Amino acid sequence: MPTPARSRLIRGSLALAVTSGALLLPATSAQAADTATVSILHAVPGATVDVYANGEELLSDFEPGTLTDPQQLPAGTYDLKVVAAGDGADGDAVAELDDAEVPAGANVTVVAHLNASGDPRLTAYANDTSGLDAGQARLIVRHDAAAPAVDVRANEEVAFSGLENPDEDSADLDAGTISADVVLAGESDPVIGPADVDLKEGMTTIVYAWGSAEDDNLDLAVQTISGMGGNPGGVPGGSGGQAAMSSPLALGAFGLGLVGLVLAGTRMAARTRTARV
Amino acid sequence: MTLGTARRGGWLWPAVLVVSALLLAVAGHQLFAPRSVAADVPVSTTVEDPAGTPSATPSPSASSSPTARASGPRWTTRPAAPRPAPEVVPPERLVARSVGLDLPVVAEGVDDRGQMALPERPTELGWYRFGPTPADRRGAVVLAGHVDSERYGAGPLERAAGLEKGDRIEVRDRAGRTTTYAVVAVQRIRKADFSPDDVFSRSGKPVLRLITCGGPYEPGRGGYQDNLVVTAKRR
Repeated sequence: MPTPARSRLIRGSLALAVTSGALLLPATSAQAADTATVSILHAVPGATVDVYANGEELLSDFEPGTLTDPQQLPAGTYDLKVVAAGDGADGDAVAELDDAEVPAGANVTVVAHLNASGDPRLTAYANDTSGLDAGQARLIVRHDAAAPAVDVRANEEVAFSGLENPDEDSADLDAGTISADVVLAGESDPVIGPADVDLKEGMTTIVYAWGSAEDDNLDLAVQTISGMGGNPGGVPGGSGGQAAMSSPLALGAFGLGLVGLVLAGTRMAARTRTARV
Repeated sequence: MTLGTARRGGWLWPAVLVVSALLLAVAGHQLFAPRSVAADVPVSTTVEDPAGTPSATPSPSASSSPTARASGPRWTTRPAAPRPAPEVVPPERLVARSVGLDLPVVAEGVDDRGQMALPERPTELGWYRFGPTPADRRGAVVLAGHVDSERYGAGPLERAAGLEKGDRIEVRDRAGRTTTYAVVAVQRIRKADFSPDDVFSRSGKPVLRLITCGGPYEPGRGGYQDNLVVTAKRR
């Protein structure tokens, strides 16, 4: 029974997925053209679960706070269902997401998490894997915690403000390590962190806020996606031209030669004249 | 006595004349010939890749199967808690004895024009800090420097053009470990042919790329027209 806000988000995510899939298509191989890259994050505290896709078991005994490595799945539409471990395909759903669109070439993370009021949800996020400039890293933050709107801070400065469950925000930044923490929107006492997050050059680093404020188990989860990096356009290895000019020495030698030539010439001319007289 | 003086005078000035003419010719050539660095190094259009094309190794991983059904792949999981950045040990010094190069190395990134940033002094080398380190098993360690600078004049990197196939280059890192390379190619590459993804390669066999500027110096066309690229493989 999705709330209007939630169904709007899912549609939003799917639209995003389609967009990024289209962007990716020209760059991906023939194989990738009919598959998508899918990762699954378990961010519901306290429940070990099994995940089903279209009635088939995708993975079992999935622990909270763990992330799958990315898998290539055939592009298409998936009905996703999370049940308590061992309950089987027909077990009571902890969370469900029907008709999740996984477009060819897209990179998708499916997150099992709590909504703002603490109920388990599944959200499919499309990951932005567009190219980065040399030296840059992409940071994506996602609010998947049972908590009100938050600010995400980098090195104690607000980087993303007023983020609500289950929204995301992103920025391309200089690569490097940041100290990340999460505060309730407008406040300054961290409710999560600070934790050092390594923003690697050429990679997308996704930071998830998850858990429950009420149960005092808020935490950060991190996913990284590589392969977006660029390289410097060139090496500007010289500016002066002096190495090509071969120094004041050549200029001095040239002058010396000129003086010597003139001097010797006049002397010898003079001598010839003297000899003649 | 007067005869001796006269005789000395007799060969002195012609000698001065000859030496002066020679000086004039040599210096004049240096000054007025097209200005160029590493002019003897042949021009290439692609950077040397000692790895060549790696032989295709069959990968048994499940992800290689395009027909994998949803239930097919084996999903592996890992804790998603933030992990500390792996420690990076940067190179600190480059020594190429055969051409008398012994230069300090500093970490550099990208300048505001999207080019590799370089130390201002031509007596220092920059290491591209987003690429591999000498300890990494794959990809190109890129060390680059200015061949000269308006402020500091000509630098020692001009001598890199004198490196020959097989010459040793040693790179010492901050942990005191020395990695030894053997030169496999000395190339001049037109800046228009510069292929960043090959030069700054992140995969393939571990190589060292020592880069500076070379070729004709044309102030009206952005200075040096080529890059001098020395590629060396790990010994």
